[in-house]
Amino acid sequence: MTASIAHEVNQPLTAITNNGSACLRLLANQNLDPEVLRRALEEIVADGNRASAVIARIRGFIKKAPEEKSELDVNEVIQEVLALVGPELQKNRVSVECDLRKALPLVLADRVQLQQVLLNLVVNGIEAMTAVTERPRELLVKSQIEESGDLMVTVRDSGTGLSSEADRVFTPFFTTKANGMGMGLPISRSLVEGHGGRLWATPNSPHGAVFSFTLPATGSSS
Amino acid sequence: MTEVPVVFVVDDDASVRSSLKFLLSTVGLHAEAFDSADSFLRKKCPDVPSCLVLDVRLPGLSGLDFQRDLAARNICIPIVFLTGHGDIPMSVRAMKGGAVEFLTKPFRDQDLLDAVRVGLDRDRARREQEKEMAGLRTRFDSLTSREQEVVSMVIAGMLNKQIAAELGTAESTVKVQRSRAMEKMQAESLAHLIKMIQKVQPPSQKAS
Repeated sequence: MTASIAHEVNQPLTAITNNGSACLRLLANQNLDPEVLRRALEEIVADGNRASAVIARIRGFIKKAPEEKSELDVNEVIQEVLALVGPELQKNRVSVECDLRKALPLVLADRVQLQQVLLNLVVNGIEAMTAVTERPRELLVKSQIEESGDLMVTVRDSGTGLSSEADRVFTPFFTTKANGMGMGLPISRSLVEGHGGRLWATPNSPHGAVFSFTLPATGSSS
Repeated sequence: MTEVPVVFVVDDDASVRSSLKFLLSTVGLHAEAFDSADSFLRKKCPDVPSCLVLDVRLPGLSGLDFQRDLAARNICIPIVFLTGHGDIPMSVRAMKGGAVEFLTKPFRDQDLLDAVRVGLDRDRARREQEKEMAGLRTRFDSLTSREQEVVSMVIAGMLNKQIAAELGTAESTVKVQRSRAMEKMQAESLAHLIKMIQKVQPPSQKAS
């Protein structure tokens, strides 16, 4: 992970040092046109801002906000998140189906973190379907109880699907999106694991991907 | 006539591209930048000494795969690799594939400029050598097949007399053919002729 962060930050740093070195060279030759200098400085400033934005984004992701775990109904959180992305769903003409298991056992979880995980999976699902035109864009969100008694939530899309290396999507900075940071899934996975659960991906049949995560139940029911 | 060399920069990051062009311009080097391996390949490379500055982490195609592709297409442009996190196996592979240098971003400007210079020098030398080879090849092809035969025997160490006997001609004829071959090859001496013939003629074709 540190190697990948290094790459993200290294690009603007490389541009900054190149521009700076170039100016120094021109200065040494007394050949520095103010206009050239101005352009170089503008680029340096822009790249400095870009580097700090990368760091701010990473900080935002891994900030250790104090966890506030409480007994939650996962179905409720699912509904909240779907309400939140309603406009996105409409805009992208994605139809959502919910298959929520009634009387789900409660889980002990941080509401914000759980929302973050679900939001990430749902938004990924929507984005995976934006390129799809020849079939319906369908998102299925399902909650169920596993044999072990743990809860399982699955988010199924009919998008472009995963390549052969499904697990690579959990690698930090791995992204298939033009403007993606590649941090959503690795962070979601660490959040789920922080709750004693698992998060994984499988291909959907015939199209798309399925993301599933489990959470241990507390024993009390909603 | 001196040829204006060109440095090709392939990096997916616009800032890195423009800053590299700027840096190279400060030492009078002309650079052309591309955002992907593909767009570089689509461009018809000018017939001048050139060097490629290549980011290892290109989207779609890794720099190392690209290096292999170029080799497969017989494009032998010297490559200076740039990487954010060069691990040792990666750099070893790159260097084995003929890379000039493997620099970790951000790098010292002097290191990059030195590497580019080495790359351009290497390409210049390769082009000289190719030109020389092409010249030799043309000269050698201008020999008649009999002259080529005689030359092959000469460099195999045979005397005129022996060659004449082998070919069933007069020694004087061999002498004439030999001197004509020397002339056409612009050979200053027998040693010079041998050197040139060894360059153009693969060993298997040599007279045994």
